[in-house]
Amino acid sequence: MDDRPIKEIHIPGPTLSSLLHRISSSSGDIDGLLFGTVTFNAPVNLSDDVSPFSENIAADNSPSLIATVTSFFSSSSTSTFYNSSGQINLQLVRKVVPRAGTLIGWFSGRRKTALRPSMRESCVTESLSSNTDLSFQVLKSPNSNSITLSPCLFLLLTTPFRKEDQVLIHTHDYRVYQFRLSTECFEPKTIKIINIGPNVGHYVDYETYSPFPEMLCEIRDPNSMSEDVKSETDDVSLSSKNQSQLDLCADGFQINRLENLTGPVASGYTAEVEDLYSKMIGKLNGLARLVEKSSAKVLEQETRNMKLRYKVAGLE
Amino acid sequence: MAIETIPPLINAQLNYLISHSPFPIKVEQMWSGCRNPNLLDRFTLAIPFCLDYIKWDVIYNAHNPLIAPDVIFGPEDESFHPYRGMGDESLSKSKKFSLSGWNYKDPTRLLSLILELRDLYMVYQKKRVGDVDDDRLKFEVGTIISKEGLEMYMSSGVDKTEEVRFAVPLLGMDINKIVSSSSWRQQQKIQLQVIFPVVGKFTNKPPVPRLKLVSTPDLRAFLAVEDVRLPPWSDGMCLAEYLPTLEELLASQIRDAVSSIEVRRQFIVALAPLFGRPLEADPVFCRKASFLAVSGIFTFVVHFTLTLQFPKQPPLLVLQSSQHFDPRGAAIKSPSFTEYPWSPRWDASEMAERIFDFVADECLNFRKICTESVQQQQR
Repeated sequence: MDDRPIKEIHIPGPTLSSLLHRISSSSGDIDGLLFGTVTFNAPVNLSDDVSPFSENIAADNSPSLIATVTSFFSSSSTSTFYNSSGQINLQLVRKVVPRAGTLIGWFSGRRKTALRPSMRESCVTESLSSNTDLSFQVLKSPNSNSITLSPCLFLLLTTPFRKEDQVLIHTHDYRVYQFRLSTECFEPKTIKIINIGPNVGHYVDYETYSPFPEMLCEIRDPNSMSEDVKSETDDVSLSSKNQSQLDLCADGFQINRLENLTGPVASGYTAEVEDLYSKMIGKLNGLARLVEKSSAKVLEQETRNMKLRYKVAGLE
Repeated sequence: MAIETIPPLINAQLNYLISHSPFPIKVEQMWSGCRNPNLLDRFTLAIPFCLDYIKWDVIYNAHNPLIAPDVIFGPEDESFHPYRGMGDESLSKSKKFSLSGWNYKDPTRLLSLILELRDLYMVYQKKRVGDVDDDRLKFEVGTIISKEGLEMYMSSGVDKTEEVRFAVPLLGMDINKIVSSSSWRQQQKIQLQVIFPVVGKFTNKPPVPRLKLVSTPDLRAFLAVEDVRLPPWSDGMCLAEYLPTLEELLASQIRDAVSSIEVRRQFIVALAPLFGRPLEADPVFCRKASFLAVSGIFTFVVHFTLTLQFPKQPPLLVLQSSQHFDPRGAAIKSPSFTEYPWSPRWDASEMAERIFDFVADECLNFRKICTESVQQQQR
């Protein structure tokens, strides 16, 4: 396991904001795991690339490691994956990490506390970092020597101590640290929020991760591309399954009919396509309602759990 | 606004900590970390350490009271990681480790955790002091390190000068036992605070350390260590030379303090034949006594306050009427008298007689003042 310094941590704006929302809407302190990637960033020396983003990288020519947080997992309280002395429960952690995801660190959110790691947080981070079973490969690492890292990142989120600020303005403080095994200390790291903007150069390094299956479906007429079908005989069963899923959404609307949207016959078909879209929106609405209902059930269960905890605490 | 409450399980642990701690721990502030801000589940503890306080935030989770609390140490102690580097095995082996197998129902747990952390903090500070690159300090530490109960603290920071503080326990004797009648619950101690500035390499003229005597607060009724004149620190001296002289001096001061209790007691006893049995008297240190006195039909109370310098200083006298009250309903008191015939060479019975005579004269004046002030109120 290597103990290389990570240069900076990237986090997409929506991921950070959903994390902040999770913390501000929770009844007490919470913590959880961070998933994402760590990429080896070789120096970029392309002279014809003039976007400001690449210039920044080119200015610093040494190879560096960039960590990107893509998603997180949190439960409704603290101490879910470690014991009272801060030793992690490896089996539990393994259960939570998605098959395609990489655990790169963890976070702790606590209200009205100082923005520095606590006693237990430093134990948990050490326990996570020193566990060789959880180490992972750095992406795009040079072929000669592949770099492995452990989940050594710790994101701390707090709210300020002052009382008067809490009513009208919500302030969130956060800081990210890399725990270095060699020196046994926390190194504060810069955190960069990635938002979609004019400089979409970020997408060069950004790899999406989606838990849904990728649909490798044909956006073409199977008859006209007969040679392709022959060459991809292995994928036939999978793609036909995906196609049938897509057909379910398309409601019998054939992909080749989209051609009619251009040219002189377009006006007649617009209504048809609009009808299809409204049906799709209807389905999405139904899905949203389902999600809403299940969220309500989850909330109900959480309230019930909280009541039970209150009972244990003797607060009733 | 709902009432702020401390969850009972947290409260039980906190109360046990405050009432059972071997040294006084203070709770500086309490606040809530919940969305519902009425459940107080975090607090700052001020823990005495090296004649100062270390402030640690104890973080409980009101919504999950079964979980052990977490601690955030002070901003200058970022390198203090008490349980770091102990694998699971070594933790389960050491039964002293109070966080393992946390039992939320056991009220003693928080205290044992804090005591354990304070011990570890002491080890951490000793290590920091040991790492200081200063020859003189290394020598001083070497000579006093064997003293039991020695505490040290390395103070450093961006805007602070580097210095090492020692709290050196003085006198091997048990002060609680010497003052036999005392009812002190905590062990009384006198410590010498020594502050050495860090100078680095060896110099011919090392700076003189700052010295201060500090005692436990309860001891003040018996001996004011602030008034003890410290022996001078001569050039090139070291603590090992200085301490014996100081301890000798202190031991004699304590002997004097014990015998002066007896002197004060005799004085109060001598007052009794003249004033009658005291209404109230301090039986341990004999610093206070109050007597009921009558002059004609005027009934009043005489309060005696004896300083530690008694009999060099005469007692403070205050007269308090039992018949006249001010507009707020409090009994009228005279200003305190110190200017009256007095000699420390008189024996106790003569002192008592002279004071009795003085009070017999003064009470007439006092009665007049009382009557006048009551008449003014009625007008």
